[in-house]
Amino acid sequence: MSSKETILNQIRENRPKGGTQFSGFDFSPYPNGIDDFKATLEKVGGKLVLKRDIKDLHTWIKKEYGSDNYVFTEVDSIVGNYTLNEMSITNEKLNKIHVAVLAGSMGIAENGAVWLERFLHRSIPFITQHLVIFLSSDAIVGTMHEAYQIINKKELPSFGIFISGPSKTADIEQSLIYGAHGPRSLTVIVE
Amino acid sequence: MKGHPELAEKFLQDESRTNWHDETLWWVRSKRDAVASEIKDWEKLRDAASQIKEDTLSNLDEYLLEFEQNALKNGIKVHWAADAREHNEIVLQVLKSKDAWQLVKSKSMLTEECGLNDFLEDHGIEVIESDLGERIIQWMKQTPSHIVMPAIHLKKKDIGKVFSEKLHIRETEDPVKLTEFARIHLRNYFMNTKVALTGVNFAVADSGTFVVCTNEGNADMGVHMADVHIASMGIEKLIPKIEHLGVFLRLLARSATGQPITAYTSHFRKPGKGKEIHLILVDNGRSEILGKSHFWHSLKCIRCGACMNTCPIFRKTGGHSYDYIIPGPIGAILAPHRDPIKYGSLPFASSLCGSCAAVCPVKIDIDKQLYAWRQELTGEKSSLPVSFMGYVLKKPGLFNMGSKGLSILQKLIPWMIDRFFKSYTRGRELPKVPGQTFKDWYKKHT
Repeated sequence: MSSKETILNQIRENRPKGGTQFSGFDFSPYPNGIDDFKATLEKVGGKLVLKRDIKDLHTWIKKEYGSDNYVFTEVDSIVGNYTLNEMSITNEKLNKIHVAVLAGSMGIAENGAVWLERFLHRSIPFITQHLVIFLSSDAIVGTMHEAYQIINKKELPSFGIFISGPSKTADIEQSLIYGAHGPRSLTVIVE
Repeated sequence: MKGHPELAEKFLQDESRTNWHDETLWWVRSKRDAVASEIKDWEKLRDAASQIKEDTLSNLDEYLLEFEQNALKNGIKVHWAADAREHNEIVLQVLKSKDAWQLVKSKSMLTEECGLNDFLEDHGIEVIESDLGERIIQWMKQTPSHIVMPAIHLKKKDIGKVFSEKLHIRETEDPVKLTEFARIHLRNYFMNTKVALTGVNFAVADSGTFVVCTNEGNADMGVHMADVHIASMGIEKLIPKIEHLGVFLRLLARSATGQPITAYTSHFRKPGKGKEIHLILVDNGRSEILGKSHFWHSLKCIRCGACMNTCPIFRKTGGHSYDYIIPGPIGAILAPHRDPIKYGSLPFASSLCGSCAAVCPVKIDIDKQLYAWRQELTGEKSSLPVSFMGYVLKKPGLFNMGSKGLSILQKLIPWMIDRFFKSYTRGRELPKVPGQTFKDWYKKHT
């Protein structure tokens, strides 16, 4: 008998009876304005900037991140200066990215997370030194329940991710440090 | 064999460290309270999470098959492991098939349970833990003392020392510098590894998707840079539907660390172009616990660690006193299933205050299970002192004589009382028996 059969047989023999069924509940709304999202995003170590407050993105990047070299972008309206070809991608090339500008498709006010589901390479939101995510102000919802209602409307992406703030660790005496392995900073630009 | 009391005594020797541990975990518990109170539906969410898990466990065979079918359709390779040994063999086979001699790992309590690292090292594979806390623990040849904060028992001085030793850097206690050194050190491995392993926080039956939550981003760094992703999950990690994630993700990080959500919540449905995902479904005793009336509820656990942070015994005795992979209240009800003799002292490492059950996001009645374990382990027989007290309480004359006698004895020969109640008076004082009994006082005042 295969392990699969052994496991399933034992479960069938042992499975408890009368476990309650979940039938859903009416969740309370969470305010979903830009300011509500911004307040939570700041609590998790991120930053929110309005697109109209940025005159020139490259000047802004240079000021924020020290240099505007190796800016990789997947936002159509933004011009980067570091391009990667899908066919010839290598880990070394990915590791050069200083700032990645990606498109978020949804923001969640209750936890400051942004949902991303389109990537040239899945490592980009992690390997970049700094992450910038563009988000439409119409795409902010209150809670995770609403987020999954939207995600569920179409086929799930092959890979999708909620990102809430920069990479962080508190493993050394509970001191909170940003930039553990992934981005040292996260800015959400709302347009 | 050392039980919880003996190991706890060792931890308690360093008073300032013990106090730091106690206060730090209480601070994490307070953060949990603050964020939980911001969510209006908190109690409804706990009920929902408990119900979803009960439903899952009551129909586990069907959900597992649904999950497998969908995952296979998505191009994920699914393996079944009846026990730890089989799980470890599968990992080794995947590594061998890729000619890989290194495995970059993110945090997984299941692989700790399976003893994967030792097994692989015995077969010549280098294992690199990539979560900062886990890497430190690995360097120090220790085990995690907490399921979410594996290095919570260590001070920055200890960590600085091991960094200096392993990375040949000047000793520092600065957490910013240490984290930066770890970033550089581990990125090198991320860049060059072929195979990476992660745990699984939730697997969703209706879409064959699985979710991994981290704060450091180490799980994603590992698997996206590697060619092969191995994901190890206990069969109880399943949930039926995608929308159920909304319930669990609202609860998990808030309960664990007081964050509204972890920094990264990754949903894996299909492997990336030219890559492979191997998912291992591990039983290792779970289907047996499923058949134990009442105890099966412990399988609802989502490993947030809230019961540890709140537990007065855990905070004051440290995770290593439990001598089991999962310490604290949840560990104390899981461990005896593995070995009731070795872990027999764990259900007694509790004041039964019930704080664990009060914070548990999936409403496991941990305190009741601790009590049930005590009944089971002692064969429902009362201990000698309890039987003796029962006898005395039935005889008023004997009781009166005893209470007077005790007060006289304590005055005249306190050492004898202390010796008699040795196991109780170690580390605490026996309360003074008052000269006047309540009965005498009552007589005088009526």
